[in-house]
Amino acid sequence: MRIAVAGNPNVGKTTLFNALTGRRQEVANWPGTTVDYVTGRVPALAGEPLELIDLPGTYALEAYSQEERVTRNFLLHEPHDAVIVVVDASRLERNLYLALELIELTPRLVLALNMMDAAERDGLRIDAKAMSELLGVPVVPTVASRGTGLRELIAAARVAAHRRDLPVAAAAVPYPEEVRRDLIAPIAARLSALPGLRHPPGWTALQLLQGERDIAAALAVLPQGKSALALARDLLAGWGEPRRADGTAPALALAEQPDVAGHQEELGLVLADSRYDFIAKILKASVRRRLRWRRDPTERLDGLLLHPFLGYLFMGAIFALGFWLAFVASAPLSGHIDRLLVAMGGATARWLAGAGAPAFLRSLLLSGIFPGVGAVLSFVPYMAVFFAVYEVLQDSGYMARASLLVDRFMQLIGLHGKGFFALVSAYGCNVPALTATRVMENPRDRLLANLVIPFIPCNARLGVMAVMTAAFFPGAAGALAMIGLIALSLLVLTLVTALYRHTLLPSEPAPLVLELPRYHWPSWRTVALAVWHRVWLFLSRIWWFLIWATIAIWALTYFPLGQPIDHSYAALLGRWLTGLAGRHFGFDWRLMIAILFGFVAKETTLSTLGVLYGSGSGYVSLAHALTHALTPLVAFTYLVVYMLYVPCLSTVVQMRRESGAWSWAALGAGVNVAVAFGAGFLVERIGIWLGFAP
Amino acid sequence: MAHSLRLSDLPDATRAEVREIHGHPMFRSRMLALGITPRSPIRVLRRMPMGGPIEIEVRGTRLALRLSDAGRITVTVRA
Ligand SMILES: Nc1nc2c(ncn2[C@@H]2O[C@H](COP(=O)(O)OP(=O)(O)O)[C@@H](O)[C@H]2O)c(=O)[nH]1
Ligand SMILES: [Mg+2]
Repeated sequence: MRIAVAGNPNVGKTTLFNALTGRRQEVANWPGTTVDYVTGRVPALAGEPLELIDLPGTYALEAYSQEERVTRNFLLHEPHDAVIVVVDASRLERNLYLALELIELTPRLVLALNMMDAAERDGLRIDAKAMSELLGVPVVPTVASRGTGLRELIAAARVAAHRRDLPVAAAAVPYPEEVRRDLIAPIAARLSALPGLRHPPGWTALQLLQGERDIAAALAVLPQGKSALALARDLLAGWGEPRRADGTAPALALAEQPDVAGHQEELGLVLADSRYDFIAKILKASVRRRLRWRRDPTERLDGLLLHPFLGYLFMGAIFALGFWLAFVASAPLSGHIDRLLVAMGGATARWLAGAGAPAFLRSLLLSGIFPGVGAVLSFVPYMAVFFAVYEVLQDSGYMARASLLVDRFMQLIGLHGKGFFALVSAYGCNVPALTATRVMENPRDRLLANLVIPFIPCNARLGVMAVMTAAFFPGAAGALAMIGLIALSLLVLTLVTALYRHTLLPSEPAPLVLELPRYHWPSWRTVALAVWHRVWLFLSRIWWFLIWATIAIWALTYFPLGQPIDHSYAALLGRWLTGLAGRHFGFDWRLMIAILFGFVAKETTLSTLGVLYGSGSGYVSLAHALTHALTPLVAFTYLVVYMLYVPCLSTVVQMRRESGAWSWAALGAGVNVAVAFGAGFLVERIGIWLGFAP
Repeated sequence: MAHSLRLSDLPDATRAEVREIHGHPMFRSRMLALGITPRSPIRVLRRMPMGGPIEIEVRGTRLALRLSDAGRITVTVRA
C-alpha cells in the first residue's frame, strides 16, 4: 500500500515521515528531473505493509516550480492508495487551500493537523471532529516532532485507502450556484460518460475551466474527449454574458472573438474566493481562539533578525558560525581521514612488497587508488557538516529571512535572493553550494547560479592561493594580493552573470515569493537523515569518476617505465599544453600540469607542484623552489587562472546533476576555462605594462 | 471613504484590503494560492532597506514580495 505525504512547505511533512519510517528510507531521483525524493517503509504490526512517499512541498496543485511539478505529477499520475495532507494547525487558513484542492481530487485522503503544540501556544482550540464533518475526510491532530497522533494517522490512512466513493468533488466547496449549474455540471456530465477518464469528473471539469494544459492534453487523446474540451471552451466564452429571456446563454456570433482567457482568469478569482469563504466557514465552526497577550516569539525574533541594520549583523554572525563549523572546524576530520588513508596505503604497499608484488602494482595502490579514495572521502566531513548547517538554517525558518535580507543586493548582480546562501557557501566548497541552489523555484535562476558559482574560489583554492601569495608577496603585499584576487573573482562573477543574462538565459530573476514560516527548533533526526541522504547521493555519484581520474594521473606520471618525471607522459602533455597556451602567460610545463591535475581535486595542487619542482614535501621548501622558478607576475597570473578555471571534477559532475544535462556542465566548464585564461592574459599584459618583469 | 493604492505604496501597519492582482497568470494564481485574493485583509509589516522586498501579513501567514511585484497588487484602505 502506497501513501503519499503532501502539504505546504515547512509544515512538518519530513518530520512526520521520519517519525513514521525511521531509517527504513531510500532516496531516489525523480526521472527526468533534478528533484530527489524519499520513500520509506512503515513497519506493519498487522495488515498490509505500507510505503510512504515524502513529496516536495507545494502551495497549490498548479505547479510553480520543478519540485511542485513533481508533486503534481505524482498525485495525478502515479499509482497510490491514499494521501496524507499535512497542514500547519497554527496557519490553517492558507494551509487548507491545498487541502481543499486535494479533497476535490480524491476521497482517499486524511488530513494531518500537525503542529498542534504550536497552535495551542497561540491560544487556538481546534475541534478536529467538526472540521472533519465539514471537509468530509478524517482529520487527525498530530505533533510530528514528538510523535503524537501518528498511530491514529496511519490507521485513518489505511481506512481511507479503501474508500471507493467518488470525491464530494465540486460539492465540498460551495462554489456559486451559477458556476456549478452553468459551467461545472454540464462538463462533468459529459465527462462522466467518457470511458478512460482517470480523475473525478467534477475535478476534471474545474481543471478544464481553468485552462490546465496537461489535463486538456490528456483528454484530447481520449475518444470523445475533444467534445468535452470544446464544451468547456464554449461555456467559458459565454459565461457572464447577458442571458436571454428564456435563461439560456446567448449563441455567440461567429465573428465575435470570445474572451476565453479573460473569463478563465475571472473564474479563477471566483473559485479562489469561494474556497477561502469555505475555509472561513470551517474555521468559524472548528476553531476557538483565546486571546493571548504574549507577543508571538517569531515576531519578537524577527524584530531583531530582520532589523534593517542589526539583521545584517546577525546574518553575518550566523553565516560565519555556520561556515566556520562546516569548513574550518571540520578540517581536522578531513586531515584524519587523509592520514588514515596514507597509513593504510603504506601498510598495504609494505605488505605487497613482502609478498613480492611488482613495483608498478605497489605504486598504483600507493599513488593511484589510495589517493583516489582519499579524494572521495576527504569531501565527507565538510559535506556532512555543511549539509547539517544548511538543514538547520532551512528547517528553523532562518534561511527564508536571509533570502529576504539580501534579495535587493543580489539583484544588483542579477541573481536571486534565495541564491545567496549557495553563493556565500561556495567559498567553502562549490560542490554542496551547487546543491544549495535548489531553494530557487525558477529553473533559469537556478541554472544561472550553477553556471557562475564555480567562479567563486573555494576552500581548497583559497588554501593554495594563500600559500602562493605568502611565498611571493611577503607581508602586507600578500594580504593585498589576496584581496585583489577575491575582488577580481567577484567582478568576474558579476560580468559573467550579466553575460549569461543577456545571451543564453534572458530573463529577470523570477518573482520573489517567499513564505516566512514561524521559527521552529529543528529536529535532530530530520537533520541527520537529510545529511545522510545528501552525502550518500554525492558519494555514490562521484567515487567512480574520482578514482579513475587519480589512476589516470598516476599512469601519466609513472609511464614510460623507469623514466624520471620530466620524461613522463605527464611532462609530454605539459609541454604540449605550454606550447598551446602556457607560453603566452609565462607558464612552464609544470604549471600547466598542475593546472590540469588540479582539475581532479584542487587539494592536490600543492603536492603536485612539490613533486614537479622536486622540492619534496613541506611548505618552506616548496615556497623556496617556486620563488626561484617564477617571477611574481607569472605567479600572480597563475593564481588568477587557477582561481577562475573549472574548480574540479566533482563540481562538473555535480553541475551536470543540478542542471540535468552534460551540455550545460560542459558549457559552464568551457566558459570557466575561457574566462580564466582570458583574465590571466589581461592581468599579465597589464602587469608588463606597469613594468613588472614577465 | 475608501481609496485605493498599490501594495508597494501602502504605509506600514495600515490595514487594507486586496482589490486587484495584475501580472502574469502564473503570478496571479500563485498569489491566490498564497491567500492574496480580492477582499482579503492585508498589511505591510516591514520593509527591507534600499527598496528591498516588503514583508506582508495575509490570512494568518507572512510573505515577502519584491516591491516591483507588490506594485502589481492594488489595495483599498478604509479611512
Ligand atoms: N512545534 C512543532 N514543530 C514541528 C512539528 N513538526 C515539525 N516541526 C518542525 O518544523 C520544521 C519543519 O519541518 P519539516 O519536517 O522539515 O517540514 P517539511 O518542509 O514539511 O518537510 C522543523 O524544524 C521541525 O522540527 C510539530 O508538530 N510541532
Ligand atoms: Mg521536507
